[in-house]
Amino acid sequence: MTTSPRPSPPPVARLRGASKRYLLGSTEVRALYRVDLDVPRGVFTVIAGPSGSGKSTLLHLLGALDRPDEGRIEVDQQPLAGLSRNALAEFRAQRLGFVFQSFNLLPVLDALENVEYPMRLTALPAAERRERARALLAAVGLEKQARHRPSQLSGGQRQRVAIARALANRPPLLLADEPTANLDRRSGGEILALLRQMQRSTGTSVVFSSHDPAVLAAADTRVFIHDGEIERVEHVQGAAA
Amino acid sequence: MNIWSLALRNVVRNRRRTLLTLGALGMSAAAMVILGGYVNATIKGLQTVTVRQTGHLQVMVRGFLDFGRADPARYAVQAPEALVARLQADAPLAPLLEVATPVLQVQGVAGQFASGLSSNFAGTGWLPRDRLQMLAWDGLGLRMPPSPSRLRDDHPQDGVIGVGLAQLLGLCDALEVAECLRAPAAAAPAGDPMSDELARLSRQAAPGQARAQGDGEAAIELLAAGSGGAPNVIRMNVVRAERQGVRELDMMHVGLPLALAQRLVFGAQPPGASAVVLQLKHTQDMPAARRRVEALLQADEGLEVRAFQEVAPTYNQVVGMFNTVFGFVSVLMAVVTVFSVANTVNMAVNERVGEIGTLQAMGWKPRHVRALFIVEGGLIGLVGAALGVGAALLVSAYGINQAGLHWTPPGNSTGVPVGIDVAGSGPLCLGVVATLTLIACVSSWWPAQRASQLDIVEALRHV
Repeated sequence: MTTSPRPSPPPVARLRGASKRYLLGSTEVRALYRVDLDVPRGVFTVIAGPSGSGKSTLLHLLGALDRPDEGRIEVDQQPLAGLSRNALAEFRAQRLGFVFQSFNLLPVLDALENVEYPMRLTALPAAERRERARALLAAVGLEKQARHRPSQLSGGQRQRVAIARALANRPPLLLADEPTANLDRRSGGEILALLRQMQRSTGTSVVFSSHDPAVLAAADTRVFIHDGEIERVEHVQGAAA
Repeated sequence: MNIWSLALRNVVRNRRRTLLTLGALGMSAAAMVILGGYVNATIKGLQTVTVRQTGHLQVMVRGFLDFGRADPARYAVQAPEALVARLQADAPLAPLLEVATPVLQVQGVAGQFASGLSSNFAGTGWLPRDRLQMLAWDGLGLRMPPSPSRLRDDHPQDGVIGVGLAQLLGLCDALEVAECLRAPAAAAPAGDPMSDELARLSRQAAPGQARAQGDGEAAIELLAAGSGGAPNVIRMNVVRAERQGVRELDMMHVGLPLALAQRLVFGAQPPGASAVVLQLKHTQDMPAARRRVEALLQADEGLEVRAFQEVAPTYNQVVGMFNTVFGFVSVLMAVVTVFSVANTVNMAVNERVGEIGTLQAMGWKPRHVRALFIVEGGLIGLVGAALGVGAALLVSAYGINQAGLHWTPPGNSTGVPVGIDVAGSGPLCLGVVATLTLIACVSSWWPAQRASQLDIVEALRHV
C-alpha cells in the first residue's frame, strides 16, 4: 500500500471550515469543528472514526440533510448554502444516493418498487424507470426477489435493495452511513464487495462511514475523524476488495 | 406507485387501527344518512299532508290571511268560479295543475240551539269532488293512501265536525264517536232560553232541506255574520266527527260543502270564496306556477298569491326543527370524525418518523410528505363514509322502511309513515361522503404538517 497525490478531477464534495454543534439537553456538543475536506470524485472513500467522532454528522452535511453552523459545503460543484429546503430536496433527489444502517426501505413497497421509487421524482418515463429498476435489482443479485416486500427479505438482501435504490438516479455521490453495522460478518462483507463493485462499474463516488478495518482496507481514500476534527486523509492505490 | 397508491397501502398497513377508525366514521356517516333520510321522509310526508289540505298556492284578496277570518265576506274573492275557469284555461299553467278549486272559510257559533248547547266554530267550505281529489295527492310518490272525506256533492247539507266540537255540543252518542268524553251531568239551565230571534233564525235555517238523520248522524245549526253584517243561520247534517291534530282546532273544526258555507256567509248575495286553491302536480313547479298566476292576476290588484308555507306556517316551523336537529347531530358526527381521523393520522406519523426521514432524504419535499398524510386521512374518510352510507341504505331499505311505523306531525290529524327516504337520498349520501372526506382531510392537516416539518436528521435517527 502506498500513498499517492490527490486525484486530479475536481472533488465531488468540498467542505471548508464546516462546523456543527448540537444541543444535548442544555449542553452544547461539538459534532464537527472547522472541517476542511475534499472528497475525491469517482473513488471509494471511507470515513473512519470511533462512535461519536462525527462520522454521521459529516455524512449528513455532505448529503444536504443538514446545514453547517459555520463554513461552506459544495457537492458536485453546487454550493449548498443558499439553497432553500425545497431546492435541497430536489438536489438530493437528482444528485445524491443514500444507504442507511437500518436499510430504510419502504415496507409497503416490494423490492422493485423500492428501487423505482426515487426515479418517480425525476422526469424519467415509466417504462424506463421500470427497466432501470429491474437492471439494478439484477445487478445486486435480487432479480428473483423483485416482488418481495422488505419483510420477506433477509438483512443482506434488504441492504442490496437499498444500494440499488441509492443508485437508481445515477447520482454522482452515494453516501453510506455504516451500512454493514446491522449485518453479520458474511453479509457485511458481501455488501462491502457489492458497493465496491457498483462504485467501480458506475463510476459513482461513494462515501462510506465505518470503523470496520475490513472496510478501511477496501477504501481508495480514508478519512480519519476524531472528536469532530479531521485527523488525517490517506489516498490509497490498489485497495482491497 | 403514485402518492395515492402509496397512501392506500399505508392505510391498510395497520389494519386494526384503520378498521377502528373506519368503524367510527362509518357510524357517523350512517347516523347522518339515516337521520337525514328520516328528516327527508318526514318533510315529504308533512308536505304531502299539508298540500292535501291547503294546496300549493292560494289566490286570495290581499290581507285575507291577517283579517279575513273576522270578515270573510269583505275579503272574499268575487266570482271564484270564473277565476278558476280562467286559471284552468291558461295554456302554460294548466299542465301544472292538479286541482283548482274555491274554498270559503267562516267562523261563528255552532250549536244545537234547541238544546241550549253551542260553541265557537271555524269552518271551511269545499267543493266535495275537488276536496276528494286534493286529499288523494301523492306528488312526492310516498304512496300514502288518500285521506278520507265524508263530503259529497250529492249530499249538500252534510258536513263534518271535530271530535272536540262534538263533545262540546253533546253529540258523542248521536255521532257514535269512540273515545269521546261526556260532560258531567249538570243542572238544567235556569234561564236564558233561546231567544225568539234565535228561534226564528233557527227555524229559517232551511227547514226541510236537512234530510232525516240516520244512525251516527246529527243536525247542528251554524250561526255566522253574513255579508251585510246581519247574522245568518244554516242547518248542517253532521255525518262524522273527525279528530283534528290540534286540540283548539278539534274543538272548532267544521268541514262543509262550499255552497252551504256560501249560503251562511253570503245568504242571497252573490257567493264568493276566501281563496282559490291551486294544487299542483309537482311541488317543484311552484315557482313557475306562482310566476304565471301572478302574471295572470296583474290586472286584479286586490288579489295576491300565497304559498302553502305561508298559509300553514307550522310547516316551516316543523321543517326548521328537523333541520336543526339534523344539523346538530351532523356537527356531533363531524367532531367524532375530526378526532378519530386526527388521532389515527397522528399515530401513523409517530410510527413512521424514520420513514418520513427516508422519503425526505430521497428528495421528497415537505409538501409531498404533507400530501401523503392528508391523502391517507382522506382515504380513511372516504372509505369509512362510503361504508357507513352503504350500511345505512341497507338498514333503511330492508329494516326501518319495512317496519310500517307512522307518526302524526304537529297540527295534523293524519299519520305519515316513519321511514328513511332511501330513493331520494342520493344528494344526501353524496353530501355525507364528501363532507366527511373533506373533514377527514382537514383533520389530517395538522399531523401532516407536523410530519412535513420534521428535521430529516432527527427523523433518520428515530428508532
